[in-house]
Amino acid sequence: MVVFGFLISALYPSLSKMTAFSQYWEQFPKNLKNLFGGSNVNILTPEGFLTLEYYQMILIIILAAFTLGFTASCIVKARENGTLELILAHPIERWKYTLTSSVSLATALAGLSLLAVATIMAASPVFDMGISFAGQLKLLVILWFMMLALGSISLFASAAFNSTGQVYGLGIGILIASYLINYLGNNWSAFKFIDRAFLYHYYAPYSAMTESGFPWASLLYYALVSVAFTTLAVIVLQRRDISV
Amino acid sequence: MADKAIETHGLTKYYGKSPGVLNLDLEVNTGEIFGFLGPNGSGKTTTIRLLVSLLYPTSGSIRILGYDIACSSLDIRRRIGYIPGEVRLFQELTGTEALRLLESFQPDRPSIFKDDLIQRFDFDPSRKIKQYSSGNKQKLAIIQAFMQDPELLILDEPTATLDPLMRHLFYELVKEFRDRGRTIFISSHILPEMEDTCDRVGIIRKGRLATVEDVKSLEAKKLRHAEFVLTSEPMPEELHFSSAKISRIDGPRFRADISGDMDLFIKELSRLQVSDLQVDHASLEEVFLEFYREEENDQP
Repeated sequence: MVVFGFLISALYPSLSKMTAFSQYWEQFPKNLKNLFGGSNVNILTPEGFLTLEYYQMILIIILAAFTLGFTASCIVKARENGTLELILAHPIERWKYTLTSSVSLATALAGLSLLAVATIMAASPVFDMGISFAGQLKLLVILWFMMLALGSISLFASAAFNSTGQVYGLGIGILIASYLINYLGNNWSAFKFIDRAFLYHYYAPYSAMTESGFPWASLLYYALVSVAFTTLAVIVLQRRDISV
Repeated sequence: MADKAIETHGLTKYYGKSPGVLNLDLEVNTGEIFGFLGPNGSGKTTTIRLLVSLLYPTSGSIRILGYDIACSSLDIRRRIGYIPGEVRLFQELTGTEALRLLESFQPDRPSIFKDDLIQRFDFDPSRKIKQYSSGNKQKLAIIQAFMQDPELLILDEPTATLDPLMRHLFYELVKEFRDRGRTIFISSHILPEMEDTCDRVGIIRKGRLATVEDVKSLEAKKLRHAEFVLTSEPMPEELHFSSAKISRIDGPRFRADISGDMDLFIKELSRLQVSDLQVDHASLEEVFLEFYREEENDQP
């Protein structure tokens, strides 16, 4: 993630001077631009370039892979490999186990999100990008909360389902569906309503980096999803049988 | 201290529509070794998982060490040591790290027996668990269950992967804990091991408790098979044994199904000229059949 972030940043100085690159992007139909990060993105700015090449998709895939792997290993994988049986036969409250998993995930994601954003901040002066600290800070918070929301859904799946594959399947499915519905919502008004229910609608890295206000609505949505699914995960693990 | 370490009343567990345990009424006295016998799939592991709060009963109640499991599961788990039927541990940790992790779940109970157990079972805790043989993983499971001196040990087929020497050491350990006032609930499908160790045994079949017996009375009912070879053809009346049912296998080779007194069988056999003799314990299934036969005979 660090290496990738640094390499992408290193590409910016040369690509920003290539007018052909900018013209190529401008020739894209609006619908196609929306598929890669939004028609309002100015690719010649560092924020626009980073949105298209890093924050919109690649970084999300990296963090989502970690999130799904972590949450699956906490419960469903531990159940599959028998360690959960041994742990819960000790005096450990199941709700504490679930919440501890959730807090560990939040801490790990905070670290990884910080690392991702810090990489770009460190690369910014080296490659003369002039990235604003405030914009990166806003993006860091939204990125962290979005992954927490995905992690909470995945933690719930981990508590409820019986195989690691099901947890990965649900997590990846939600992420892809969310991305596609966000794309449809950006292009066709009929999908706007349903788009509001999905994670990607509230993730707008370009706006977070370039606009002055803080995306409170996104923060609130992700916080609500996180709390709701973590609570569900606690309830489900509390009530279910533990057998291999 | 409660008189009964374990009490279940009408304990029933269904997996969907298929029953795991049916209407189980079980009492285990404090300070005894109670053997829980049954063939594979009879409900032993389901019962044990219910006792350690891993499964929720469909109906019925469980009291352990005087606590109702429905409202005091945590208090119970503070007082028990558990060995799962299939020992699967943290593959990436070393034995030392795994023991330290499991100790940390009960920081108020010092691991007073850890070092002694490591030495006694000749266990090397410095290696990663994924490098251990199944026997060494079983030793680790035994050490973690016993090290914090629990009041009740719930052990699901704990000797399955141990060699005979370690098995002997393990049963010695179990008896030591019993002598110190601890209660041991141990499941197995190997009858002779249970007879040598337990004070009482319960036999479970198809999710139902078939019987609970003192080991001494089980001994009296014990079935054995003997094969013997005679040097000369016996007279038909010489094959009438009061201690066994005799049948011919082939030629001079005979089979005896001995129920009860072995001494009497030996005395009756001594009337004949025997060139070879081999005695085996009956399988658990045969013991069950013996119990069911008795149950049927008892019915009016």
